[in-house]
Amino acid sequence: MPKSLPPPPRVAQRLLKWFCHPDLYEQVDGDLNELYAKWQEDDKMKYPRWAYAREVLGLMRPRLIRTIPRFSIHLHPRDMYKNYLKLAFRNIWRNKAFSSINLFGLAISMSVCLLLILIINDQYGYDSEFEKKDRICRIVSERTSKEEGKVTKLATAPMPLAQVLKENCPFVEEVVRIKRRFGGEAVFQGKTVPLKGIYADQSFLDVFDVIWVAGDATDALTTPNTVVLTETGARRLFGEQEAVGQVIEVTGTGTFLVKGVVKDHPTRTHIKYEALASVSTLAALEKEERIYASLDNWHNLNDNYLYLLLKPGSKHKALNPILEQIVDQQYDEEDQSTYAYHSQALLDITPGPSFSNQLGTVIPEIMLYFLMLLGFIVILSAGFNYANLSIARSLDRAKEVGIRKVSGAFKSHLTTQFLIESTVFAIIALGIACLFLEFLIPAFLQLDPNISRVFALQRTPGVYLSFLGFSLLVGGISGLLPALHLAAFNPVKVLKGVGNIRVFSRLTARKALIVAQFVFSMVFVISVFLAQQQLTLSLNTDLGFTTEGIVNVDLQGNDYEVVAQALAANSDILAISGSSNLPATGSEDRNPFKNLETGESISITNFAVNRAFIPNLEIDLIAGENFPENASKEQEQYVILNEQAVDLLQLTSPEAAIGQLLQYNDGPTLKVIGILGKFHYREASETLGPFALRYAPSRLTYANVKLSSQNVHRALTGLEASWKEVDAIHDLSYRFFDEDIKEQYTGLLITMKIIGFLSLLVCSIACLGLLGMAIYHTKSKEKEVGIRKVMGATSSQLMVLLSKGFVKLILLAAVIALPIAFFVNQLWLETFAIKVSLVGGLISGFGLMLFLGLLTIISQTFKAAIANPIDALRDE
Amino acid sequence: MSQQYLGSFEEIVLLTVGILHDKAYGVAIKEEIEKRLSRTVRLGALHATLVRLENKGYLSSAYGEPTKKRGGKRKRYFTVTTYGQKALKSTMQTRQQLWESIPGFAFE
Repeated sequence: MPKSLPPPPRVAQRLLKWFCHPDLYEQVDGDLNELYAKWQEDDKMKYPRWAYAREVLGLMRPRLIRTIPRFSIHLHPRDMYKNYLKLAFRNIWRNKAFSSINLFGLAISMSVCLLLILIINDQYGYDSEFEKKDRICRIVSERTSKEEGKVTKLATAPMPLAQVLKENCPFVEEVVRIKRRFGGEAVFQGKTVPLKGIYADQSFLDVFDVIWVAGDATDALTTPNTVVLTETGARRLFGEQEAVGQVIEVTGTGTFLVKGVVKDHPTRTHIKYEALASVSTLAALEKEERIYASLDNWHNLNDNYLYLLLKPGSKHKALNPILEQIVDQQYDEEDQSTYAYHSQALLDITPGPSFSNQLGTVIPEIMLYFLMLLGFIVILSAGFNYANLSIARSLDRAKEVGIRKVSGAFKSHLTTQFLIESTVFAIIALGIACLFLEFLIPAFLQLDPNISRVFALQRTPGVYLSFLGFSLLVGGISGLLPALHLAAFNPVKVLKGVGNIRVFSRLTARKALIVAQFVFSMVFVISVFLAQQQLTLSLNTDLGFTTEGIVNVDLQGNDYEVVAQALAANSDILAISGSSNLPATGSEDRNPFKNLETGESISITNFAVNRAFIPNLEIDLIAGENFPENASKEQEQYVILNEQAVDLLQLTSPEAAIGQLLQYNDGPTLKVIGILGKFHYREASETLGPFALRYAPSRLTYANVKLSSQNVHRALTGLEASWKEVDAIHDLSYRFFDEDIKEQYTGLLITMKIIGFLSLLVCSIACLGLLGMAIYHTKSKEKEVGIRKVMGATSSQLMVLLSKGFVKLILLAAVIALPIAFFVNQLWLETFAIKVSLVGGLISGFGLMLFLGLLTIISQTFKAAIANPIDALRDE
Repeated sequence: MSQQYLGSFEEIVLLTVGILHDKAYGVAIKEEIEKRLSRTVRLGALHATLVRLENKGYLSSAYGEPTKKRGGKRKRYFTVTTYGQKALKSTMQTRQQLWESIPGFAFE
């Protein structure tokens, strides 16, 4: 008999031992061994090891496996849970300092997270109220300029693509063309009201579930100059009057027949409108060259959108190959850019990837992820606090644990008890957080008028359910670590004397928690400091022109000369000039300029201005002069460039550039008459490119009115009166120049407010956590301090002794936080042309956190150090 | 009567333990059934049935001596209790009565 036979598989053997009932194990294992030996001698049995394993698996039967010990059979679990709950409430009540620190921190950070849940819920619910939402997609574009290789992703698409798609795609049911920027101001019976709308095809009504209130849907948007108003729009224009059949005038666009009134669109959609005008209106407008041609223009990707309704069961991705073919047919080599089109499902738009020219405000997905991260950090911080303070308090709970264990509680019971405690905590915090939320929501919505337009923040039962789920999760996770720690106490040691347990045995974990909180806080605080400094810097940067006392009046289609004449009579108006755009307010037009000598052509941002513009805004010229007084008002002749334009047009130097001839936009030839010094036509934060001022008094859209500073109110009233003489229909529309510029930083301002608020939160939570730690640390060292004092230690020595450890933690946090803050802030500061230095922010952020931390620690250690030692030692 | 109901595999096992008399332990029972009824018996099924029969009181058991062949594990010998014998007999009688009640012409 060969002796070297393999033994039975070990895994199977161990498995058997693990699951088999101990009473049966011996005989079963013996039987198996005997059988196995026989199988090995049996030639017919090829795989005895497999057979063994199979038999083991076959033994897994309810009657044969180990019974799971059920310990609490004698106790009804419901009674125990009731007891746990009662204890949880008692403990919360008994330790008021501890509970309020924790509840306050948890509730505040929870309310922020609840707001984030609302925001996220809101965003993911966008466009989901449309019935055909799963079948609607839109065409987005990708334009790559051949010259610079710059890729621009656009939400827009060329209009003629609609017809081609309809003809070539059998699975496209409907095509909707939309063009934004309809309306502005609507006039009815002498009353002017703002009206915002879009141009849309008849198919829009069907695809986007437009519900009719009055009028007839058939052919409502097929003929030119027809319009459909929403209830809001109609009410504003007509009040209680009948709207259908009326004719309204839309400033600068023409007269429109109101075909019907429809219900307002749902709040959570990216297609927002008060009026829908027929797309066919555009044909006439384009013919009159009032708007840039788009209906048959494959290169206009400015304001046009294509939405497709697909036949049921078809996939929007199937459009992509067809779109590729169309691109090949429609564009040729000579185009300045290459184009690519893709389909995007309606539900992927919000939240979705970032595109230029979005229809309505779309929050980029990345922003949402960022918010989620912030919320996570905030709640993590509060959770840390709970864990940290609970472990610190384990001294108080040790006896309770000991007695419970001696009376027969198992580790699992104690874990459950402490988890229930933390969950009760989280649910109470949730209640408080919901209260806070009611104050937080209006505050958030008022941050910016745009915010209330984008967010509905509906509180549905489903949302509250997710709040509850969230708080249970927070309670469970933050309670886990303390629960495991407390439940692991050895009852004998604990009951022999509290002095025997090592309360700070998890010190490293808890130190890490405190350090992490301070790292977060420091990064936040530093970012806020830097954002604040950057904002101040940007606003105070010398833009190269004055805005002081200047009010920009929108001409609203009136002739500049007429307005200027009317205003000139007013003695409070010191000067007046005209321009087509306003510098540093984010508007710009670019057109090609060609150097006639070298043939070099570049596209330059340019404003049309009049002669008074340069002196009125106190702009410096480094060479040449202002436009001549006798320049022709009809025929454009002169241009003033900036230095960047001089370089790019290869005009060698500012002096040499004077007198050179440029061709503007394939049209008139312009003579360079002056060179601008510093002039920030863009916001201070952006780098400057080539720029030109054209002398074109017929193309002005703003009057820059300089008011006397003595009595601004009287000046404005006078301005209003003068305006009424010129234009009785439109109300005067003006803005202070400096406020207009400030508005460019709204984005930064809002971000700063949000981060500022969050950092306040994170800081206070971190300090609360530190406070709790300091309280328990000093309390546990009470006797040591007493003895030292009796032996002759001074109060200051004792304070150093007690505070040293915590200060070290804050310094460690700084070592970690400073590099992180450096890199994070470097990222966004990069985008600013003029930026603040990082060092200042780093130092002040670190200083503030160190100060707050020290204050927290000293408040506790000071108390301990000056205490009368007899109080601590009396009992010994 | 109804309390003494035996499943068919239970009956087979009980009878086999009887056949083997005082040599009835796991592997022996398994092989005996396999030999006589030419069917394979899973060890799991067999042990589950043995446990059940013992719980019902039809079988009693005692450990034997450990053997090397069994990896130093003792055999567990089963014997049919008087109660078990009664159960077997009553099952047999029930069958008998049922057989006898079949009218003579029915199975022809």
